[in-house]
Amino acid sequence: MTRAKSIALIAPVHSYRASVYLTAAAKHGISIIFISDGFADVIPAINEGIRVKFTDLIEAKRNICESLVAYDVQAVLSPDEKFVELAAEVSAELNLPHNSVHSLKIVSNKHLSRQCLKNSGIDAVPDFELINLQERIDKQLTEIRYPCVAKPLNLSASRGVIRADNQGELIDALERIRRILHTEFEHPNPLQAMVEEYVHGTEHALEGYLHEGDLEVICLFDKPDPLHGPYFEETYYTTPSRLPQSVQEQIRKSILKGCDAHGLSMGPIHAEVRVSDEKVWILEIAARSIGGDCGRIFELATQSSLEEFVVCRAIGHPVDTLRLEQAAGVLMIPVSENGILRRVEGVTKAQSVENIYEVRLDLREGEKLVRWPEGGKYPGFIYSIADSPERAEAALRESYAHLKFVCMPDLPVLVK
Amino acid sequence: MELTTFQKEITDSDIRVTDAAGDKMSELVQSTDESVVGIRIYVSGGGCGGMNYGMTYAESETEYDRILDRGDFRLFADVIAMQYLKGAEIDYVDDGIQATFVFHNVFQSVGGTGACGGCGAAV
Repeated sequence: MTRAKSIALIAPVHSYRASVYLTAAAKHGISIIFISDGFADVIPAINEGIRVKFTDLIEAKRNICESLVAYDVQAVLSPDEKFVELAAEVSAELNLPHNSVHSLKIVSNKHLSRQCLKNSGIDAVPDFELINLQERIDKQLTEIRYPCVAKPLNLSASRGVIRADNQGELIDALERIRRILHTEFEHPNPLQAMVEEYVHGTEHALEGYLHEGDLEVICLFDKPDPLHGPYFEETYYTTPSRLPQSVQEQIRKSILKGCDAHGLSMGPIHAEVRVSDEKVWILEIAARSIGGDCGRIFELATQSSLEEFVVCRAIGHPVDTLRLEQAAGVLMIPVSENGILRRVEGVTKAQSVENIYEVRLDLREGEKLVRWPEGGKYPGFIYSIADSPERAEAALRESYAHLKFVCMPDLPVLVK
Repeated sequence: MELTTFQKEITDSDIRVTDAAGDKMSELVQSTDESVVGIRIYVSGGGCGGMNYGMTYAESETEYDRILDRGDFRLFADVIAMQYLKGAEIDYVDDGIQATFVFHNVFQSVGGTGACGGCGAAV
């Protein structure tokens, strides 16, 4: 008798990525046990599931393990970085394949990750220092060389990442990061930031899948806009990469080495690198697929999503290798001014540009637009598919030029 | 049973606007185009320490709005926002480093501390 395919998916109730996993699994006849929090009866309404509280992760793990005994799941996944570790802990308890919890702890902390890469002997890793934001800052900056980049340890989407060209700028940047951390977390822990060497060069993002000690490259994106700072919000991604094949292979090998150094052995990988002086500098390795809605480009171009690939691979369900046969591009629409959105003009024109597949706006009238480095939410995405990466990029640029975000100011308010 | 009528005006006992804040609001409204009819106070979210407060331009009046009409500008807050503003004072402070409207006493009617992970701005 064939065993029914089943996956447990751990995600917060407001996860914007859970639904794509549910859809992906359903398409392949894989059932999902949705493990989430929340008070309303959302879980039984949309999917079979287990409700847990994520406020106490030890208790959550115990409850999940006990509840999953009634199900015959073959993998435990989380689409959200915050719960990848919990998914691995549950997998370990249930003897299911997983990355080690230790490796995931390291990979989710920028400082630990840097230390791990340095200790493993990988040479092209930027020098770095850990800064305690609760102590006097200037005394901690004596070893810093400029230009440098200051970043929080555990925020994503380039939030709080700031370039500084001298000590004065660095102190301002660290003070700004401290404020961002206090905005994001009630009690930021740790109240620290990392300052690392600024690496000149072009930036690239790799989407891959680790399996049996090898890294399968799904896609290598170029970032054609120069990312010189002072802030580092993402904008244009295009693929296939215009780098020479030899450099692309060098990137793959460097990231695989980085995965080994972290102890990662399986699952989706999203990595960011800079290529400079024929060296591949690893900026980040994450044990997840690409964030935001960038991954939607696969669905538009191939009618098969990145999440389908991840879900099927996780349980050994047969699935074709995910390949973009044509060139493609994504623009994470930048926030050009802070304010409250009144309307977006030019959408029809932006949509009608040749090679544009979709202009997707995620913000609605009345929502706040916040620029980087404080902001972390793109107002939307533009997707293009063309016969070359140059044309995919040109289409994105032409399309974006038609968009106009009309905002009202968000007047400064302090509550006492 | 006693019927209550909807009170359209915002009185001093609802929200008090200091001269400094009033002058700044007036200046802001005068500097905009005709589509702006005043300043709107809004309340959103609701973190661990209470609600988040903000201000922006108002483009139109709604039937749920209560209004403070000072002649040179109008201040709008809808009835929901008013529940979180009763007893508040709005001041404007420019100390050369930071220029901001300051909401005092907003927690009088609803409790909370303002020490919210969502806004981070409160003390």
